[in-house]
Amino acid sequence: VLVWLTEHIDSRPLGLARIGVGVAALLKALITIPILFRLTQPEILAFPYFDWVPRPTVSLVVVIGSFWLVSAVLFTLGWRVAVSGSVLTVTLALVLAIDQQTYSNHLYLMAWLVFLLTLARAGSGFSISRSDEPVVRWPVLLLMVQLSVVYGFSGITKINPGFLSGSVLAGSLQGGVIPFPDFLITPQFLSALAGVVIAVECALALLIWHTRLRLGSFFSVSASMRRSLSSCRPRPSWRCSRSRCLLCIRCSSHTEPMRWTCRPSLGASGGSRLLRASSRGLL
Amino acid sequence: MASLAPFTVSQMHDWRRSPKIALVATSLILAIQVAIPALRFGPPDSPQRWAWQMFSKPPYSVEFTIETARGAEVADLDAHSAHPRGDLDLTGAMPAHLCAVHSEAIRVTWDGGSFECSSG
Repeated sequence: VLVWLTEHIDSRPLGLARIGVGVAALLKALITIPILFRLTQPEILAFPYFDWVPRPTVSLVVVIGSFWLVSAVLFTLGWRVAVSGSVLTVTLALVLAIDQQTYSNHLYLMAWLVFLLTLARAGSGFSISRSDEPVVRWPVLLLMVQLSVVYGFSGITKINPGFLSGSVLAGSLQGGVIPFPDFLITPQFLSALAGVVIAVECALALLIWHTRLRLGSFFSVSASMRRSLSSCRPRPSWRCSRSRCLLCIRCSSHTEPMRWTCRPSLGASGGSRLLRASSRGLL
Repeated sequence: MASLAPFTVSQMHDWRRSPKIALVATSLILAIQVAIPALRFGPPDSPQRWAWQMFSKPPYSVEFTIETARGAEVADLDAHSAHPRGDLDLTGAMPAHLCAVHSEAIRVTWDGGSFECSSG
C-alpha cells in the first residue's frame, strides 16, 4: 500500500483541477468580499464565532481581499503554487472564521480543495512556471476522497421530508439568469427532481472511483477535457541495441503510475537505420 | 534502459515520497475529512454547517419587531445583517444589536421571545 501511495502519477489532470478551482475562487471572491465590506459597517450585525474576535475593519477587508484575488490568480496560473496555494488556503480559512455570516458550503469546500491541491503539488501540471512533472499519488487520492465525502454526505443528508418535498428546490429555482419554466414548478415535478438530485449525488460519490464512469459522469464539461488528458498518452521513443530495436512507450495516466512499455519492433538492420535517423534528429 | 527514469532528480527528493509521511498524512487527513461531517451530522431537516449538507434553509424568516415609545416597526433584516442565511439563529445576537443601533428602542420582540433593551 505504501508503495502504491507514493507512486508517481500524471500531474496534468491535477493541473486542470487547479485551474478550475482557482477560477472558482476568483468568482467566489466577487461574491464574498462585498459581504466582508458590509460587516465593517456599524449598523450591520457582527456575529463572530467567539466574542473575542473583533469586527473586521475596512483596511483588514482590503488586505484579505487583495491576498485572496492575487493568490487566486497566481494559483490558477500555477505560479509558485506552494506559496500561492498556501496563502489562498489561509485567506479562505480566515474568511470562514471571521464571522458566522460569511460561511458558505462552497467556500468551505474551496478551502479544502485548495489545501489538497497545494499539498499535491498541483503546479506540476499545466503551469506557466515549469513543464509537466509527475506527482505523488496520496494527495491526489485525498482529493478524490474529499469529493466523494462531499457528494456522499450531500446526498445522504438530503434524504429528508423537507428536501424530498421539493420545497428547497422551489426556492432555489426561482429567479436566476435563466428562469426555470413556471409550468414545471409543481410539487410532483420538484419532488421527483429532488429524488433525482439525491440519486445523482450518491452515484457521483461512488462513480468518481470508477475509472471509466468517473470521467463520463463527473462535471460534464471538464470530464471531456480530463478524459483526453488522463487516459494513457503514449510518447514513443526508440531504444536500440546492436541486435534489435525496441519501441518504448512512456505511458502516464491519472490512475496509473508512469510506466514504460517496450516491445521488439525491428531487426538489427532496421535498428541501425533508426539509430542513424535518431542521431540525425529525425525521430 | 537505465536512462529511462520516470521522474527527475528533484522529484526523488520530494518529501511526499516518504512512505512514513504518506502513511501518517493520509491517515490523519482522511480521519479529519470523514470525522468532521460525521460528527456534525444532525437532524435531517436542520442543515448543519461543516457537514457537506450542500443546501441551506430558505433565507432567514424570523421577524424582529422594534418597539419604541412612538410605536412598533418590523426591523429590516437586510439592513442589519451581512448575509442572513437560513441556518443561522439570529435570535441570540440580533435583538441586542437592534437595541444598540436604534437608540429609541425599548424592546425587541420576535415570534417566541422578547428582549428588553435596557437589559443589554
